[in-house]
Amino acid sequence: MRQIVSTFLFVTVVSGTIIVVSSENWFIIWVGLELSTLALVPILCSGFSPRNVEADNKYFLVQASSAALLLNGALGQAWLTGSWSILDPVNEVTSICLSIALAFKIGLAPVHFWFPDVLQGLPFFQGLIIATWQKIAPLILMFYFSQLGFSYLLITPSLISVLIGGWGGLNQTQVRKILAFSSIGNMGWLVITSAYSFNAAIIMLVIYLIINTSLFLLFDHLKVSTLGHLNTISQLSPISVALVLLVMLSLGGLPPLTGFILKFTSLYFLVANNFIILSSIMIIGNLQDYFFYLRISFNTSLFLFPQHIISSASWRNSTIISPLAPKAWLSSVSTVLSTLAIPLTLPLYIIT
Amino acid sequence: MVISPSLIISSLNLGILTILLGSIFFFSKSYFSKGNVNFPLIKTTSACLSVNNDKEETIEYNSGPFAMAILKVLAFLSVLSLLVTCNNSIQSINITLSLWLSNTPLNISLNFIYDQYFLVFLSVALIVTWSIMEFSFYYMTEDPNSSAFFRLLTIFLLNMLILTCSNSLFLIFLGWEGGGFLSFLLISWWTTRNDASSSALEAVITNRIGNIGLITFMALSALNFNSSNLTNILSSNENLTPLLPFLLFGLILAAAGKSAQFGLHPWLPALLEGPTPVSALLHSSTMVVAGVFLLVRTSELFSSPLITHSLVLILGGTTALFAASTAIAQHDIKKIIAYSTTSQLGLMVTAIGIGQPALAFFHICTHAFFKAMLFLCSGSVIHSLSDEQDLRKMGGLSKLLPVTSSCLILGSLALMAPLLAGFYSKDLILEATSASVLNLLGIVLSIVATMLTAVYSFRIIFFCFSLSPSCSSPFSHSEENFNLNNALLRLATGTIASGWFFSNLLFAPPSFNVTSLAKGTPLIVPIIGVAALFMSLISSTSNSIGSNAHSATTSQWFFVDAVHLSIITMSLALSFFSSRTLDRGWQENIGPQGIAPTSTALSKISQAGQIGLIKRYILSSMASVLVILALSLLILS
Amino acid sequence: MVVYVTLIVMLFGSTLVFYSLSPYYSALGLVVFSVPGSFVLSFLGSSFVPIVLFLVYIGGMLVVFPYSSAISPERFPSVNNLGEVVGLVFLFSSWVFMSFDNFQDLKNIFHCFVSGESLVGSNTFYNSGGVLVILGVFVLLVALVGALIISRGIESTIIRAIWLW
Repeated sequence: MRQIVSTFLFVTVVSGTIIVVSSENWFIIWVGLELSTLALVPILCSGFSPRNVEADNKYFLVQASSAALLLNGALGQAWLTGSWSILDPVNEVTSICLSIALAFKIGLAPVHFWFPDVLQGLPFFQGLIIATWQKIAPLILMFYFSQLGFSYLLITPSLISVLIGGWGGLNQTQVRKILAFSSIGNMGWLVITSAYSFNAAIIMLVIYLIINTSLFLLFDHLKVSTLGHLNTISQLSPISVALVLLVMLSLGGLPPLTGFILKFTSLYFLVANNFIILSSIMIIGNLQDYFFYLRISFNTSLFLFPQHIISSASWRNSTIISPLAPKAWLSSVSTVLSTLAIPLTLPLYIIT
Repeated sequence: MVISPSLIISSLNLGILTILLGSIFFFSKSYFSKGNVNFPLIKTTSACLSVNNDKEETIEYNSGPFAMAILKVLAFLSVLSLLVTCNNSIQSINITLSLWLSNTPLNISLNFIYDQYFLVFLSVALIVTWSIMEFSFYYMTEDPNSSAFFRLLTIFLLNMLILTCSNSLFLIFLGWEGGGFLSFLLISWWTTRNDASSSALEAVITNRIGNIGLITFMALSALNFNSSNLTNILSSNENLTPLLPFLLFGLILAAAGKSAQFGLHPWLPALLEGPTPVSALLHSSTMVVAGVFLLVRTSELFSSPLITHSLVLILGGTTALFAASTAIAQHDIKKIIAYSTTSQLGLMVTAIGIGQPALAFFHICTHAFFKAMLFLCSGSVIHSLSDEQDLRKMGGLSKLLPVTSSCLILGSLALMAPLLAGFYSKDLILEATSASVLNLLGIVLSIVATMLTAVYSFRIIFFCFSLSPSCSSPFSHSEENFNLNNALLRLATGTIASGWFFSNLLFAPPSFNVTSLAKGTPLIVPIIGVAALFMSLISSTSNSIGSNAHSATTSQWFFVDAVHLSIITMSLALSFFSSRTLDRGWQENIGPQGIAPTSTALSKISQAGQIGLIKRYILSSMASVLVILALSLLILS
Repeated sequence: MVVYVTLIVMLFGSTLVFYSLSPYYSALGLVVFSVPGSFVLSFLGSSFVPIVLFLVYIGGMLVVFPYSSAISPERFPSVNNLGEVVGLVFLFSSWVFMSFDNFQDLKNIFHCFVSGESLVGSNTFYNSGGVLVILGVFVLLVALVGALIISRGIESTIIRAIWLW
């Protein structure tokens, strides 16, 4: 793809998200979502491998159907209340339509099936866009939406998705699928927190995006796609062993790392609102997440697989990226933020 | 006055703490590399240049002089602030440095309190630690890693000072826990010795029990008074809450663990496995009195229920009696002194039990001087006799070690004879005991303990100095070392003067209306004890060895054996049941054997959904959404 | 009733587009989709917009139809699963009727489709809705670029990639 075309598409994706986030008209929101989806589709299949194209197809179909559902709900809303504003109180049926559509977009539990499949079919960088940037717009809509009224239709799927994220990831050997399931679990945490505090959910979203970005960039840099390849990292770049380990544990929420504030804020608000039993269920789900995070960390740092010399020396084939490349810069900044930024997040916690 | 005395005091004390904290980072050897050999300052101050065989200059850096200098300066500064306090009669200064976590329900702050207790304790601790540091520079010359040792001692002192000066429970816990942990490191200094390691473990485990008490107190006070500030907690105890007994229980448990009261005492004699300076520092001035100090700080909580007073009183009395009676039959000189410490700690707790925390604190201060001196003396003796600790193999030391032996006699006398440090506080405590209305048992116990104190003190003197020399190496040059003599003499001065100084200038000792008999008791009782000792020594030096009473006291009333036996039996029995029911029972089935298959099955189920067909995906998504909708409609309607 | 029928036909056409295995039926589905769409719009009162729409669609189809049939001439063009198409049409149309026939009120289910107010005429596009039109044009441009990128070349055509695999 020519660079000018890809730049145009990236800018369009970004502008679609910005349109969604900054507008309060359901119709414009739909247009913005469609805009970013349409621009993302060519980006995703730029590799043109069959697996890639298949994943792209699935992504497009899911996004299109969820956008249709969203438009359906928005139309019903407009028809009933006479206005397109998202601040108007929603009717039951429209709220069901809208929340299912948004859940489709972010891959919440009962409608999560497409997400690991799509992510597995894409390269890490494209997967990064799907797993982070494309979630911003629907998630912020979801946060607004959960402010409108307490909705069991948001609480139940997020609880289920925390559990499904744990169970699904337990059995995987593919790094991208594991990341997809952990993303599903974390979406559950975010949405369930947004039912109680908008600010806390925004903070969690930011932290989660940073951690996820650094993980995807690290794995993209190291070209590690399965668990079996993880121990080539120690030959490829020894410092990445520590980085992968720390970022992984940070994603799990180990206290001195940044990810801890994600879980802490969420649990603080849940427990403060007497959500105790269900939040313990969420902790159990997170424990299973933690199991496969630890599996990745373990394979990365402590373990040497018995394998052939050719596969263990696969680093010879990898290209060296210059240290000043934007990707390297971004990954280093996000890695530092995702491991060491807990002093910065304390004021955020106080703001909430 | 433009500069208020409170400002001077607080800035002095904060400065002392800061300097102490900063000095920790300058002990390292790595500041001196080979390239700096010709740096003139090093040669003059604290490094000695040695020439190796291959004529290559290496440098050995020892941080002992540095530590001594720091402590010396700080000791003078603290005495300065103490004198300012004497002149200006300052009650207490409360300093809040900053708020941690201000928006939480529980305010946690860096909160210091500078009251009379802390100021006196600061000077005493600094002077004593200075002497001990000087002594350990002499004692640890041959240790290859002595810089680290000095650093650990300094960190230990810093922790202790944090514990005594802080008003926030979290800081107190910091100092408390830091003291416990550093005691572990210091006791196991010679880690290759089995005994040292196991003693360190014993100390740290017993401290854990005490920590449980302190944590109980912290948690309950956070729950109850909604504050971590000790002053707030003490001032708000008017509303007697139902949790007060548990608070007091936590405090007593903490104090008993840290100050080695009866039941939790065995770690204190075991602590002797460390180097002698460690025993001196831990036993005399710092760690063991932390528990008593905590009780002194929180003594206002004890004001209401009398039963707690009696409990503390009996605990202290039992400890005093037990330790004193054990001490009279020991043969290890350090062990005698250690049990003597335990006995004095019991006396301090007794003083708290009769509601006189100031007296307990007074005793802490005077006790620090002479007990540190006793330990240093014993260290000197042991060092001179090439690591001989058995009391029976000593004798005639006064000719070998004049300074040490005179200091040893002085320290022993200070425990009982008038006009020396220990007597001032002890006399007051005994008087207060006989004047109080609480409990006859406590009085009897403490008086008997005092008598036994005299017995074991004289026993040391008798064995060390009055017999003919029986040691293997009647030659010693150790007293030529100024570091030893200076330290001993400084502490001896403290031993002689501190009781008078404190009682006349700082503490206003309460006066009691007591009969002349009670007034004379502290004088008479030691004399009786000494007489009994001489009689028993003369009549039956050899016969009493085999008696039951003697073996009972020698082996510490069989306390350790009984407790170990019962604990092992109990835990074996319990572990049998637990392994039957839990490890090989339902817990195994539910836990390890249950969770793993369950989550495996569940993850298989959830993986079965991932078939890769987008049509099925959307269909199953819609179906599950419909199920959720139907269920929520059913449940919520 | 006419509106209902046209809507069902419209849904059928759009479903046919993505269920047909050969481009013949896809193009047919698009035509089938466009005609009733224009019908519906004209029922709603505006007549200019549907005419423009219809002309654009037919013109586009005239291009697409020969092009696609030239790319993949198939002997036996087929639709994947006709029963499923019918089922989906039934499902979707029933969902649409239910959700827009005042089902939300659960009182008068069989009300008319759209209450009397007319939707926008074409002049709105040039007045207050101008920004929306520009936005829509931009979206169409993006869609065009995306379609061009996806269908670029012969080896890497997306549909071929799937069938080859």
